[in-house]
Amino acid sequence: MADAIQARIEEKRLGATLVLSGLDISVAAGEFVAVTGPSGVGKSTLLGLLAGLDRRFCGRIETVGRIGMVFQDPRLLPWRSAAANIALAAPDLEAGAIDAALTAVGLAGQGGLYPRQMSLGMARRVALARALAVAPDILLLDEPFVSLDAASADLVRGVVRAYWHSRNPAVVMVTHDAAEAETLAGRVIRLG
Amino acid sequence: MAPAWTALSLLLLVACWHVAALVAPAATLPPPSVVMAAMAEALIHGDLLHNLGVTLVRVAAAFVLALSLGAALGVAMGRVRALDRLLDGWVVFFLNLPALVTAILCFVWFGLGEAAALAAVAVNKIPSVVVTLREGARALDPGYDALARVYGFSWGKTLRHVTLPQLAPYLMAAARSGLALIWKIVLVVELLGRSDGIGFKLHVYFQSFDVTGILAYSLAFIVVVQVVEIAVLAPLDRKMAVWRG
Repeated sequence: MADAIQARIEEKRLGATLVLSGLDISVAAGEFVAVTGPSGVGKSTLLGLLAGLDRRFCGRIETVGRIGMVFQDPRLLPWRSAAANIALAAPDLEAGAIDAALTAVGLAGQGGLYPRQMSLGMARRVALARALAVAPDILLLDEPFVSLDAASADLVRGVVRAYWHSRNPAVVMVTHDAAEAETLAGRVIRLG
Repeated sequence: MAPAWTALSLLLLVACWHVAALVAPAATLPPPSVVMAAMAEALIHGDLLHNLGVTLVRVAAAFVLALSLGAALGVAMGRVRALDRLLDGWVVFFLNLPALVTAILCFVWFGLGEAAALAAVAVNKIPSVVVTLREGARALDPGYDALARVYGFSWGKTLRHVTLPQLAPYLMAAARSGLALIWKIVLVVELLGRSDGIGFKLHVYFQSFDVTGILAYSLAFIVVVQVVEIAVLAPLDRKMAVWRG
């Protein structure tokens, strides 16, 4: 299968610190890859590079298709409701489809809530619904289950797995949890 | 309960004024009833409306000019370190320049015209808008920029949905203090170099020591500024409160 992501990172520094070097990563379309490693090893930095958020590095990254990303924090716009946050990322989506996206993450009928009215777990689920709403060819997940209670984590895990099975995007999931990486991903890349 | 307290507070002020007027000579401090009557007379038969309108147009023009230029420069300085270093000294200089000096110099350099009056007011207000909006720009969350880039927001969409809402509290603060400051400077500028407007009328009344006229024109203007606060700025505040909680 063709590659959705091809990355050759020769050198990435944050200030004077060398964070990533000599990294070759390719992710096939439809492949689920987990990136693990201890804190501070550059996992989130790598995800930022793959998302095209940071171009200050030596190397080359090519991605094919639309990207959906779940950041480590929910990163919802506080001045927009849950539904409006999704609508901003996926402007072609009709109201019914936004409701369905929220229902899929266990937030049926909660579209009118503002971020300040949500728990962290709810906000993270809205962030996931937003990433999936853009129908991504590449889904980038930065510690998607961290600081969720067990039930919420199970729910989010189920949503990610179901979406991957049904739509088959390339997934790159950053996690510090090796067991979680093994459970979900077809391939695990260890950094550090 | 807040409107009731405001009414009570204003009533107390009028009562204190009335008592003071009983004690002071009539020409020095006329009672509220006389000032109100003078205001009504000037409104119906005099030129209060005309002068009020002229001053309000000047305030509005200076407000828009100072806020747009100050916001643009402030945001640019908050985002570009080199520009901030280059212009920071200017901002400090102009912040400390008295309004009277700017007004005199503008009239001397550009003549006793409308453009000079507006420039004088704007030059006085722009530095404080710059300082406020520079803080706002420094506080912009780069995380939201990243979000906008991942989801392919256009420049305009990012500005409208990501940047401006973050700057809104700073814009409101600049607008509030701007309105309070600008109308006062406009009066000084009118007093110095215009032949109409509230400031000009105050000058005329001052020359004849007509305290009633001074108070009538001042009160009319304060009422209008309060209406702007209640009708425009307060609803904007309430709109923002929806998501800020």
